[in-house]
Amino acid sequence: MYRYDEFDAEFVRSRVAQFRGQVERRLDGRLTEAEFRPLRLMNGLYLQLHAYMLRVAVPYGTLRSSQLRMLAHLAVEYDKGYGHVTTRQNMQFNWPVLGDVPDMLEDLASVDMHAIQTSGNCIRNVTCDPYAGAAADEIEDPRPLAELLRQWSMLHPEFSFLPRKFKIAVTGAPTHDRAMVRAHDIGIEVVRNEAGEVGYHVIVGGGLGRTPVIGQTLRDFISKDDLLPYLEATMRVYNRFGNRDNKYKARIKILVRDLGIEKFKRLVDEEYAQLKPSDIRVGKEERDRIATYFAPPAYATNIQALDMTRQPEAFRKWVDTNVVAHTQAGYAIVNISLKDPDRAPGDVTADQMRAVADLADAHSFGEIRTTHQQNMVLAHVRQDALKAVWDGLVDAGLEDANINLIGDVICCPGMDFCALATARSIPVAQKIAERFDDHARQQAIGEMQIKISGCINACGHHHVGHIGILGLEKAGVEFYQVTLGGDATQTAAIGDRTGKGLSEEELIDGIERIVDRYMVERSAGERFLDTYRRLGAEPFKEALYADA
Amino acid sequence: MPTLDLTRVTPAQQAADATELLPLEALEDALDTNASIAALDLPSDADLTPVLSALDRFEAIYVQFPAFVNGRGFSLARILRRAGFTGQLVANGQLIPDQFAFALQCGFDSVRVSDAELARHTPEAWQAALGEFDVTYQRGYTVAMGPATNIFDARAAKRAAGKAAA
Repeated sequence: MYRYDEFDAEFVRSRVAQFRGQVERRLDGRLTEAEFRPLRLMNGLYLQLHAYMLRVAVPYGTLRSSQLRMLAHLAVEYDKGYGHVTTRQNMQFNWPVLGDVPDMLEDLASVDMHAIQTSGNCIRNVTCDPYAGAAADEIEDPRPLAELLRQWSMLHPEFSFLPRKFKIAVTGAPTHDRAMVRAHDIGIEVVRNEAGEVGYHVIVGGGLGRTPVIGQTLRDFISKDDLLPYLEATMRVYNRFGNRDNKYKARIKILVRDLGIEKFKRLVDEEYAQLKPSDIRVGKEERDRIATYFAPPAYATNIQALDMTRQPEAFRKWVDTNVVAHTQAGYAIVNISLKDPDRAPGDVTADQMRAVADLADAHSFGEIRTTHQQNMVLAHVRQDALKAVWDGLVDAGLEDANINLIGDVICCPGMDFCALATARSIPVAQKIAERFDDHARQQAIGEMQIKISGCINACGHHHVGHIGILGLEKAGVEFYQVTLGGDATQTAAIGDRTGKGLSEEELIDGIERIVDRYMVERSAGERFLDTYRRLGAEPFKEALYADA
Repeated sequence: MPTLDLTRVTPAQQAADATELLPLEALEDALDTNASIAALDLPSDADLTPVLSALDRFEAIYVQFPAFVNGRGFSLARILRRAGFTGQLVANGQLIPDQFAFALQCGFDSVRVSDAELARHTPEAWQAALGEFDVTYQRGYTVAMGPATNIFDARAAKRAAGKAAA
């Protein structure tokens, strides 16, 4: 895990002091709210429906146990005892007081953390495959690149007042994309070229929101040396030509769509030809310095295989659902579900954070991941420690065995917290979880990603849910639109709209009928998504509206 | 309109009242004469082609910032400097103190805001804004008055010093 050197530490300390000054100037009136707003957003501070909300950066979703304990501390000291894992792997607190925020940032700085660029029209916190460094299918751990991008993008003098927000995601496993690289402004895949050299495939112009678009290839292969210069050229083209008159047309995806990918590519290439890469490059020695922090941990060998026949049934179910193969023999990747049907998806209490931190120290080299699916991961668990981990999770109330199943719903905060929301989303997620609370049934249904957004901005990623739900409002009445067949992975697709909106009650019944229809129609081994692709939308639309 | 420049250059080098700025529409005619152009008023969404081909004709270029959230002018400064412009480069318009260092880092010599805006934010806030960071992560964006140390270059220098000592 990366640790700050003297320069990183000085930078973040300076940022805390700067923000303290900005808050003071806001409070004494020298900064208007209109001026303060982008400044506070650029430091992760939103004004929400009920209060301020602080979004803390979890760069590429990786945390040390001491950092997770600090988040628990913030939850207790400045919030109501819990935090919320977001769809961009960050953690947000919904109830801080403005005057406390500089102190929260100081606490964070003491453990190499910050809230820089978790919001605002700048380069946002870089996200990454949550299985990075542990997945057998990856070419290379993408986190050293993600950390380099974190540093390169911090308070970029030229790119801090972009036309709109800018999200970058990276994956080291192009054959199993768990980072949604095709739904980001820029997605980067680690790839190997024909000469066997490891470099990057750059994808541009993906995004969800009001206008969902799947990203397209900007460059098949760029060398490690030339990535930053190439990104600088891309950002400069966007900063110059991106739309600044209409915020709904300001994302890079609209620029790419309007120009066409070929013209956009040409502009980037022309800009790239003008700049001197050697002025921008960060050399191999420095990249190697960063990479050493992500070296594989000291794995043990000759780990005894776990005798599953003698284990409790609940544990076996949990292993089947939440535990996946690790690249190292004898180890496993443990997914911790934050989808307790009684809580908002992604919510985690301070006690639970501390419990996970303790388990990470005891069994996973002190490291924790957050995921864009709003769960957590212990990436390197000895298989003979799985039972101990599960026991600890049971004690903490974190043993839900529903990863990638229908109960593992992704959901934005919706009208319960968000000022933009047009409908509630958390209660819908909870009702779905209740309707399908039988674990055997969830298992039988298999992989099923339901994603819910409480407004058209699509923070709940509904466009790429196998079943997507969009909450809207008309004349004071909330209703829900359903999309089907979305996909967030390397086979990315935007879901198809089914038709007219449904009430919450009709929605839950309709989803159940869709699921039942799938169970009847599926061939052996097919996920819902596969059956949907084979049969098309009709049978499922019919099921959804059967009652209407 | 009275204006004040916040500048790191000497007052004698400061260009011009707003009325003396040459509008972009008049550029073609002005270039036809042989006189040098004291100060060009450059909108941030302008086509740069005619400007880039006559850079040695301008003593100063004032890049418009129509709103402080519009950061297009930062990229224009980089492009003009890269193309070899050595005259005065002024960020002109709706900037706030928190952008002062960014402006200088991108190649501007100074920022020009109205008297009223300067008074509202206070000159102290503008000066203090330059001292907030000594370091920057972006190579090629250091500036003596503000973030003067590039972090990646400083790390490389430390490594080199370590090797030399060994």
